[in-house]
Amino acid sequence: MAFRLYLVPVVGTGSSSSDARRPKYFDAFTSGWAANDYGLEPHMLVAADLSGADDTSLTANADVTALPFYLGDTLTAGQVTATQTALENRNLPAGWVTTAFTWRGVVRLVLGMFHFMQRYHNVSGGQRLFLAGVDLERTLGSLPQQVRDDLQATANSFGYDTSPLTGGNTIRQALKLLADNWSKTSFRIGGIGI
Amino acid sequence: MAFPVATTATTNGTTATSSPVVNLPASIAAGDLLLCVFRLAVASALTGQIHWPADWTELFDDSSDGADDQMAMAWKKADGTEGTTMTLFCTSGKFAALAWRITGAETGAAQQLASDNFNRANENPIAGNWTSGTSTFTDLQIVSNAVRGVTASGDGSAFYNAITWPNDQYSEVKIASLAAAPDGGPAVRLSAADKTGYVFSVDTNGTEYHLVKFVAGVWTDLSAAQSRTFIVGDIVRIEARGSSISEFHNNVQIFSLADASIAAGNAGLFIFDNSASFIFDDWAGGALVGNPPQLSTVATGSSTTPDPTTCTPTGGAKEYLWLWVGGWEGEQTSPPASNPTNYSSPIGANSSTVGVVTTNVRVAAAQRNLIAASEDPGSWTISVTDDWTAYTVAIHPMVVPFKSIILLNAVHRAANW
Repeated sequence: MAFRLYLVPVVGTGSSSSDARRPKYFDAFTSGWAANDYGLEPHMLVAADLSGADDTSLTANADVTALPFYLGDTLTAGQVTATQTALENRNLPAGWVTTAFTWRGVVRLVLGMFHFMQRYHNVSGGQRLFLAGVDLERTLGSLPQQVRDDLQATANSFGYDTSPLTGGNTIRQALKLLADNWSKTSFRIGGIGI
Repeated sequence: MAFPVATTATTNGTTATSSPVVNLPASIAAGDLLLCVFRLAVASALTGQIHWPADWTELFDDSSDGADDQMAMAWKKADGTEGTTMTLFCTSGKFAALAWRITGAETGAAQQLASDNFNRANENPIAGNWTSGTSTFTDLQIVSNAVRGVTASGDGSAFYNAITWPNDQYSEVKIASLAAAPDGGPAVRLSAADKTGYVFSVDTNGTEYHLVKFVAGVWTDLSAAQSRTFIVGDIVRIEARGSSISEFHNNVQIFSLADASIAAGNAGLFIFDNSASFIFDDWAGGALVGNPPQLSTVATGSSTTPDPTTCTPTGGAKEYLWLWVGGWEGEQTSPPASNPTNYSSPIGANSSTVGVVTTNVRVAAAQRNLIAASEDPGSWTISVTDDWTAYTVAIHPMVVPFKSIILLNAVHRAANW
C-alpha cells in the first residue's frame, strides 16, 4: 500500500529474544516494520508498509492510532483534538498541538520526547518514569531525588539547556521544552523521513 | 580550506526497469566525493527501497511526499575504479538521476581502529584485548580460530577493550557458519558495565535479520525480522553515527533508524546461544570520521514552488558547497527555468513525458558557494503543480592537514628564496 506511521502499545517483557519488546499486533503481519519506543514506557511509533487488509485490521483496534499517509498537511481542528487525546492518553504532553502544525511537525516533536525517554531508560539503569502515581502534572521537585538526578543527567547527555526548568515545573513542561530541541532534526524510521 | 568543486552527470530513465543504470561524471579519481540523487516513479517496500552498489552510503530513502514515488540519495568516497555508470536495484519504474563528482570535500569515511582474525589457541572466554560477558551478557569464546557463544540460550557478547572507542563507530564481522536457532552479529556502543548495546542480528539460518537494542538488560526489537539471504563469507556491519543506527550487508546499507538510547560504548560482537554451527570470524571496528554530506530536514509539498528548509551542518561557518536538490512527480520542464535565488549551474533529469503523468518524475539541482553556518535556499518554480520533495545539502570543504600546510609553505619559501 504505502508507508504509514502507527502509535501502538508495546508487548513483550524484553527478557529474551523470544519475548522481546516489540509493537503489539505486528507479529501477525508479514510486512517489515521499524519502531521507535517511548523509552521503557509501553508505547511505540511504528513505520510499516502494510497491505490494505492488514492496515484495516490494525486500525480497527481501539489502542492503535494511525497517522495520515501524507505528513505534509496541517491538522484540522478535529484532528488537533483527536491527536491531543491520543498523545495525552500515552503520557505524551500535547497541549502544544495546534492547527498551525503539519503532521510532520507533530511527529518530530513527539519523536523528540521519545528520544529523551530512550536515553532516560539507559541513564536511569532501566527505570520507567511514569510509574504508579506519576503523571504529566507531577512537578519535577516532587519526584524522588534519584529520578531528578537521572532526568538532569539525561538532559546533560544531549547538551540541553535546562536552566529554564525549576522544581516547580511539571513533567509536561519539561518534556515539551526538551523536545523542542528536536524540532528541526530529521528522523528516519524505516522508509519514512520525518 | 577552499570551496569544494563539483562536476555532474544526468540520467533520463525513460524506460521502466528494476536495475536502472545511472551515469557518473567523467574523470573520477580516488578520494573524490561522489553523490547521487535518484527518484523512482514507483514507491518501494520497506526492505526493498533503492538499493545502491557496494560502498555507497545512503543519506535518505524516502516516500513521504504525496506522490507514489520513491526518492533517495547516497554518497561514496571514490576509489577511482567506478567507471562511467553504476547500476541500482529497485521496484521497476521510470526514473531520473543526478550524480556529482566533488573534489576538495570531506567524505566522512570509516577509519579502522582495530581488528582480530582470532587465529590463535582456543580461549574460553575470549580474553586479552576482549572483555567478555559484561553484566548479564554471557561469554563468547574462540574455537578453531573463530568466535562462537559459550552458553546455551545465552545472550553472549564481548567487546574490544584495547582502545578508547569514539562515539561514532562501526563494527563488522564475517559470517563463518550459519544455523537455524541462534542469532547474532556485530554490535556497537556496548557498555562496559551494563547489558546495553546495539546489535545487527542475523537470524534463522541467514534468511532474516533484525536491528536490536539492549538497554539495561531489556531486549527491544527495533525492526521486524526482515527477509534477506546471508551466506558464509558475507560481511555484516553496524554503524552508529549520532542517533542514526545503520546496518550494512557486504557494504550495502540495508536498514537505518534513529534511536537515542545509547550515546557511547564499545564495538564488539553479540551471539545468542552456543551452537557450534553459528560462528563468526575476521572482526574489525573503527571510527566514522569527518563529515559526509549533511542534509536539511525533508521538505515536501504539492505546488509549483519546491522549497527546501534550512540546513545547519556541524562545524559552523565554513566554505561549504551548498546544493539545492529536489524531485517531483510529473512532466514539467526539465530542468526548471531560471535558478533558485543566489544559486547557479542548474541541472535536471527526467523520465520523459511518455505515458500517464503520474508515471513520470523529475529531479533538479543547483549550487552555491557560501561561507555560512547555515543556509535556507529559496524556492525554485516548476512549470506544473505536483508532489515534490526538496533538501538543502551541505558539502564540507576538505580540511588540509597542518603538516601539509607546513610542507606547502616550505616549498613556497624555497621557490621565493
